[in-house]
Amino acid sequence: MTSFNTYIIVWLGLLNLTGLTIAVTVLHLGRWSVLGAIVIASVKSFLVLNEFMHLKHEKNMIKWMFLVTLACLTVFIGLTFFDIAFR
Amino acid sequence: MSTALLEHRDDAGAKIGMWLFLLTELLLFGGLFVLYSVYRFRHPGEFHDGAMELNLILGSVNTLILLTSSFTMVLSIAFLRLVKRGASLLALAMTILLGLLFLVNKYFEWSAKINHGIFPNSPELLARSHGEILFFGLYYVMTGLHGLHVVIGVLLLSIVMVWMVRGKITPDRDIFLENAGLYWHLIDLIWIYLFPLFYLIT
Repeated sequence: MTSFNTYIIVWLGLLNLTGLTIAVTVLHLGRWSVLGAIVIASVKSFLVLNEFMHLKHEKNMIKWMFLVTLACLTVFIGLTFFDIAFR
Repeated sequence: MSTALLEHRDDAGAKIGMWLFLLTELLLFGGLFVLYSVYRFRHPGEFHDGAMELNLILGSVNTLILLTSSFTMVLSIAFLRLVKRGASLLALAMTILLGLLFLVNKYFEWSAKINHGIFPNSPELLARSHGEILFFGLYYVMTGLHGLHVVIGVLLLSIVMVWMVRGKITPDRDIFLENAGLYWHLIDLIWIYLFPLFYLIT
């Protein structure tokens, strides 16, 4: 039964974080609002991946596959911005 | 018993295959996010104006709908494991219903925009600045591709539901439900990033 409690807590957490991200935008924090939105979205996706998609219970192989994908995306985004920022 | 032994089945392989597919989906949307970021970096003002025109209420409601549908999805799997087939089917039906509700909202959102003359290549949009044309182009492509995933997800979950009713999916044979659930969560995951980037940035 513990898993049900966890699911309810994660669901409520996700709803609250959505409220928070809307509130942060309404406050108009300038350039920080973008960073805030991305950070909150990342916390939410961490919760979905770990708790709903059960990534934390998966085999190491699947965890590594995910991390390699994330690393590829990071390199892709990083190199693109190096290009356009210093062009 | 002998037929059960002859059955070819590899749940671990099926799950790895599903994750591999989902990771390619992440790269697909990741590419679009990079495109969005670069254009936003070049046209900050126009992207701000474009985002102000989107319906924040509809976007927020759809976020709550998708998050809740992910919750009912995990409940469906958890109930099946407890051999509560009725509750599992009910949770699955709710997930499908919430997915359809998301699409209904999307329909109203898009038709409102189209009625205002804002759609790709419309005279109204082409008269605007380059940055705003890019913003609305990306808006239609990214929410459209995401919406297509919701449509496929709803169909997939409906097939899984039929299989469950017919007894093809059982508590000790739930990989179809689990993999369909993974696909549904990925749709939620992508929306978690689409929502702030299109509706909230100011």
